[in-house]
Amino acid sequence: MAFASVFVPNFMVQAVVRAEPALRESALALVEGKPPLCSVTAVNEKAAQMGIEIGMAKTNAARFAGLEIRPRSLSQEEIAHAVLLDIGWSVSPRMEDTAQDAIALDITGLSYLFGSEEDIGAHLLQCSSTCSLRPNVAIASNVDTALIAARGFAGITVIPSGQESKYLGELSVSVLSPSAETAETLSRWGVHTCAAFAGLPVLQLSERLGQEGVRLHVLARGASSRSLVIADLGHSFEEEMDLDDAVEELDPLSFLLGRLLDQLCARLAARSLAAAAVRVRFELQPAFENAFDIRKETFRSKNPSGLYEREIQLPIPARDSKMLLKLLRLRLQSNPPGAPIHKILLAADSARPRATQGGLFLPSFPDPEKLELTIARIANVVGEGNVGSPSLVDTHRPGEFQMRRFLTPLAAVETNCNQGGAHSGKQRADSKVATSFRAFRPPVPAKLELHAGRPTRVIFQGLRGEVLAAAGPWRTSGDWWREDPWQQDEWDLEIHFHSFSGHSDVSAKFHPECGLYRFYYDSLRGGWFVRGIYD
Amino acid sequence: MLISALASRTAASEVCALVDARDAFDPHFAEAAGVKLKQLLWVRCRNVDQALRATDLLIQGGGFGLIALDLSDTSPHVVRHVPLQVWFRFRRAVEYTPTVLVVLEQESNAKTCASLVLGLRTQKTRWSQTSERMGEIISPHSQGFLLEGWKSRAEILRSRAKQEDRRWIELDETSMGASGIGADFETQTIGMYSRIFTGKLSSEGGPRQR
Repeated sequence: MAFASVFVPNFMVQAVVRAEPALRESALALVEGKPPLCSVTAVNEKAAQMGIEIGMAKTNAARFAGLEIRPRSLSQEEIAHAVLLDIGWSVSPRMEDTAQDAIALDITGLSYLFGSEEDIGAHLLQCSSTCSLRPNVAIASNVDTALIAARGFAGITVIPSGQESKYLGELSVSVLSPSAETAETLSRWGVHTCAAFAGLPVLQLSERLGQEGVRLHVLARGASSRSLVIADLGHSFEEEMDLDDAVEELDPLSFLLGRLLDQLCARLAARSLAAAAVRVRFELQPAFENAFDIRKETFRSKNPSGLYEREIQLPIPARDSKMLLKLLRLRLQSNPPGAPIHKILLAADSARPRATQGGLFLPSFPDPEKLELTIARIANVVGEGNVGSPSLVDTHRPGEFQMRRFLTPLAAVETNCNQGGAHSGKQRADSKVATSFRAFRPPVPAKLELHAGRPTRVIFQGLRGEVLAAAGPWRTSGDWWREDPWQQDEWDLEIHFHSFSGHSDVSAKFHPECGLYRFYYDSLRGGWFVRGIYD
Repeated sequence: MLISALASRTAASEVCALVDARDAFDPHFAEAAGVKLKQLLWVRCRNVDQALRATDLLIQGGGFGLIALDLSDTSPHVVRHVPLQVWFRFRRAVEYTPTVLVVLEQESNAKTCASLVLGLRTQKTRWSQTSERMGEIISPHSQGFLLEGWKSRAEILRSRAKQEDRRWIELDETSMGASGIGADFETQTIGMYSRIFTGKLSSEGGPRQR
């Protein structure tokens, strides 16, 4: 059996630095508490070298030049913990969620996938680096030894089986996480290292420190043997960012969204997953009470809760952060938030990534990711509901259809191709020339003269014409139980135009001499309309 | 012809796009003609500018078997003002790609950018009547008077293809289903259509008569 442990030292600082990478090279102190009693709770190495100590008042810490002070962020710590779990699951499904800053993995048998134990450690470090964390990794034959070694040694540590006590011996007893009372007792005894502690007789230790002493003694010798408490596989992928200064313009917002998307996609990649949908939520800064402008009124009417939420459903799961950023940008361009943003929350619904096999003889079809971008760009030009795939509705109402989201029919294409080209060739040979029709949207009002119940002359769009031939009426009605029923008599009319009236439409100049139109009489509205022209 | 081209391409499992400058496409007739609507991306525009921009985006996106830009309901006066470099840009974008670009308009404006210019003309409408005396309407509710179809004529006005392909084409359309000859001819037309248009900008135009 082999176990690996991943421990993130100085977890609070790393969680904040992950959200704000520019702080990585600076001296950083995190403060916590209600003003004016804010005190330093965590510092990075540079800040410690400057003399910043934990517990120092914020006012004192602020006197140090070059020190960056940030509030402790519980939300960022939660996200960093989720990232740590993702790193663990990227290697093994048998993982223990030991602490907020530490996990333990069962890596037995993984050498077939990743190579040696050092390679597994290197893989874990690389994953962590991609996700903007810098942990320690230790591998040992039992869980607790791996956890203690990860806390005590920087980088990758591999402890061979049987040499646990030798490796742990040089570590301080504080890595065993004794209680404050026990730590004080050990300090009074002059026991500072694990080796010194492991050398104490167990019976006497039990008499003086109780069961805790025995447990710590086992840990110090590296002789612990316990099973992992397997954590449930999580499917939550969220990233958030609090902004000190509210962002109003799209370009700086895109920069921040890009960073969050990079992190989100790195997490998804670590789990071999992709995003099926991306949700974005902005907390908007309320407008000033005294400010009175139209935008404020608009904002209030659109966002009464001060929240802006959008969801992008992807046709196929994707984890290309650049593509997702472009989609988000296009969505934000068409529907801007309308107020400055002071908090960003980005979440992804995970799904298995697409796996398709290309073929030499498959017909070309648009790349789904690229197509989604293209459709989003076109929607920006023509409007959201004006681009998609038409779909017929189960009704007899004339001209009724729906616009649906256009999806590349990959499955259909593959199915058709698997059936062979002969089938499609047969389809083509059997295909019939059908009439095409150009609809007028909305239908054009018209005037008709009737003789013996049949149209003889028509006037519409400034055109006057004689009816050469007519077929009809085709009477349809329906939806009488709804608020918008219809009852129409349809006619197919062949018209010969011979004159224009004085108020002719510009387009009328381009009308041909003859045309085949479909007219209808709307019995409910009591008028004639032109539905379209046969073409 | 547009519907037939879309039906042919979608039947071959290709993904097609229709940029409809005046929102005149009727999905009911298209499906009846054999167009697979799920494989059709329909862009409903309100003016020529939107249509040209959408077409440009679609061509740049790539991967479509056929992109049709339907400007036939737009007045020639408006389309004439489209700068020539737009057509050149389209041509350059589809050149050496498997995408077929078809432009429908009332007169040919793409000039030398078009690989093939077809002129389409409706000739004669056919009506069926059960009454022996044609033209005499006996009852306003006569069920025997039906629109049967019409005859169309397509002429190759300009082609970069072989000269022997330049000939008059007669296309027999029917509303109730074509005869075997008509269907065969339509199939041939689509075949030739795709061979010549492949990778080239094509414009279908000439004076239209409906």
